[in-house]
Amino acid sequence: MRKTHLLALVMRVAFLSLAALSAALSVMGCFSPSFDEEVTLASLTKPKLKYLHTVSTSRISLPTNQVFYLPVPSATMGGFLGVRIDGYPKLYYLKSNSLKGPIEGGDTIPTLPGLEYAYGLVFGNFTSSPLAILYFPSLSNASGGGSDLLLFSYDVNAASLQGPVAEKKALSDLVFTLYFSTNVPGVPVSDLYLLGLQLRDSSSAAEIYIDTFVLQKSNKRCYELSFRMDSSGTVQFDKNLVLDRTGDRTYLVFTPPSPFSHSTVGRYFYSPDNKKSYAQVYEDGKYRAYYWDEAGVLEEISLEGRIAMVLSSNDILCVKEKYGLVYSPEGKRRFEFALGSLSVIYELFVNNVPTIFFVESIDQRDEGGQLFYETYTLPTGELSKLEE
Amino acid sequence: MVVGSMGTHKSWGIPLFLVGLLCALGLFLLPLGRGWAQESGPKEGAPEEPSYPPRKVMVFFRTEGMGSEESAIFYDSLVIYLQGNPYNKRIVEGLPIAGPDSVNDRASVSYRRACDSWIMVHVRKSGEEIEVAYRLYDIPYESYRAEGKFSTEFPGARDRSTFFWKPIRESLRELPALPKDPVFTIRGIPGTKIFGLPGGEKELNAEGKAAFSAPTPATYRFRAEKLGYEPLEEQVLLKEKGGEILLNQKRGTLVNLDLSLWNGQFPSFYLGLFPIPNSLFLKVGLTSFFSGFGPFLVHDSNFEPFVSYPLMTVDFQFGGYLSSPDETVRFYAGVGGFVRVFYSDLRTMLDPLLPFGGYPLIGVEYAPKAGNSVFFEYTPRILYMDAEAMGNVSIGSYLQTAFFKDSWASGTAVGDWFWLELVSFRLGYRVRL
Repeated sequence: MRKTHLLALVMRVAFLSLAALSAALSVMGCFSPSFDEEVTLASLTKPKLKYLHTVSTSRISLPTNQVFYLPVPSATMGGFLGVRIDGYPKLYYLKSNSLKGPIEGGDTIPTLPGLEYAYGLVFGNFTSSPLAILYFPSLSNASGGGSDLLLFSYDVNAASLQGPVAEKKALSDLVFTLYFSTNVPGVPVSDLYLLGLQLRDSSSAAEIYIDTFVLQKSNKRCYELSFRMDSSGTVQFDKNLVLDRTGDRTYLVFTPPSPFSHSTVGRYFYSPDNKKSYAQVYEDGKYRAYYWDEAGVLEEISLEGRIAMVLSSNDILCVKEKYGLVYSPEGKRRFEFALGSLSVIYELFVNNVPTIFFVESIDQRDEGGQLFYETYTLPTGELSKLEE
Repeated sequence: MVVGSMGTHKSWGIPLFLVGLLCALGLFLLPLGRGWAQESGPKEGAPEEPSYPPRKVMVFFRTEGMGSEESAIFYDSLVIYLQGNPYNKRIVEGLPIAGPDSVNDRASVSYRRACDSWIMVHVRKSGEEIEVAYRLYDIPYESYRAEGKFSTEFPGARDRSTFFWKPIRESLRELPALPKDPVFTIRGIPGTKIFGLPGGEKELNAEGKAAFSAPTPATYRFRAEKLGYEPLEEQVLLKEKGGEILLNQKRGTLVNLDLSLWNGQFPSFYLGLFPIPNSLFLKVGLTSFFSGFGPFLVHDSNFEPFVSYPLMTVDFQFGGYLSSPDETVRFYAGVGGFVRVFYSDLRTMLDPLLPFGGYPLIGVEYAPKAGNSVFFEYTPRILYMDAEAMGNVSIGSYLQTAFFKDSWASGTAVGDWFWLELVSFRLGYRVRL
């Protein structure tokens, strides 16, 4: 009997201990499932992509999550890392092939505080002097000018690369303003408002296109002007896209009520092959997308998510939350695919093959680690492989 | 005269004394002499110690293929021969001789004549051959003590009185002496074990009964256990001379339902089926991560009271209880497996990274009253990990989403193919259906 009582006592104590422990853990709610939706979704797509390179931020203090990475299409050359520190954007260059790789540059971008980075593009000679062009739309219209773009070059062979960060001169910058008025006679700069801008790679590594969508505020005329920028930062007017498309008109006037005004925050895309233009504006908490072609008639198309880019294949690639959605030029959904922790960065010509670049950020800073960026590529022509 | 008489007295005194001494000696030795005489007789088995009271056997007799006179001869010789048994069994003639047809009726007839057993002898004459079949039934113990058959040529009168019925008389030895205390029968599910009654542990036979004797009147407390049935604890007052206890055994739980929280955060529902009631269980369960309590203690202090993941696990469990069903605290153990279902916008699929896993389980449930219970179940899990799908990402840093990020408790990779989660438990309420 005594033995039985002892066993019963032990069992009760064990039970109460377990119950107390589980209750404590429950109240604390310490645990989550071994599951990360973004990583899981990315794992569906990554096996279909080609791995390019990895860079790490081992020697950079990153007190913020406002970071972007622009990979160079090379297995060894890494890419540009933009960081917002104390309200100012700062740019670094990270070499790949070394998880603890050195910082190869790092100067504060000499712009105004509070800039919002929209997007950028890399071009130039990637093995000697890669270039990055960044677009900050909030600065452009606030300054009253046409547009401010920031161009940076990285000198791979600069001897000062191994010195302290403050002394590094390898990363140089060039700020310039596009003066649209030089191409539209009689229009004062103050009457122009940049509705949207697209950075578009060309098949030549030495230059890129800058496609702009400009509103003349006084008469509601819309211009589509394309420029070329070479690796020295020289910008030349390329052509008036409206004139190129219609052959007789230099501007568009959309039938009222036009969705575009001098306060519109929008995005603009131009597809040179089919000469279609797209604009997406953010209204009332959601995106609305429009397109027009030769006739200059604005048509709204139903696209889900945000337009990431209009591809060289003329398809539209949108991003909605953790998924990529591919639409035909007319806005018909073709398919969707999982992105998860992958981001669509841009489309570049790699050996004359249009290629989409994806970047996955791997943030291990909470565990005392670093922030990693892994770059993957996929030829645009093989995009349908991502369809599940 | 006086002298003569005196002389007469003296002359007969010594002889009379001697005769008296011899007679006294003879009386003293007489029982011994009878004993010797018996032991030197035919070897028919050792006599039993006399018991109290002696067993009384009612003899039923049936014939086939015989005339009434011939039957009477056989019957008389049987009764006379059995009455000469040396086993302290009293033989009582059946009334009617043929006896009733059913076992219970024969017992009833026997009881009315104060007999505690009966023997049915069936003689069949076929030509010159006689076949005899017999069955000896012990009424208090409700069981047959002996039965047999034999056949021979038609026996003569001398054979009938010497050895013909010998197998039947020998069978009387199988009838045990009745205990002084009354005999009780306990009935229930065959195989049930009875604890707490006089005579030690008992098990109900294939007919679902067992007998025991116990001093009366008295109160006894006993426990009946049978796998698959609810244990029974009863207190009985035995005040009659013999009787029957009928066990009201109820089948154990066949189905139960668990309402629980996985890791105290995410709701789960398990349905359990018991191939062996109360003991072995098979379970299927769903754990939904669509809505759960968020991790309250996180590094970056992003407090979220509720979290949601497009994930569900489907669990399968097999196990058994280690404790009796009526224990307040019951332990159980088993093994389980599960698949993880991922609800993406593209389609519903198995989780491409950690599609399935398995675990041992050990649990304890607490039921203050027999019935529904609260339970805690520990299920340390090991999951198959598709490292190739991860690409170049270190899986550990992404899946260690617990508060204790850099400890073994939150999960760790084992090689390239497995992921170990030591913190995995369920806390909930278990309903017996």
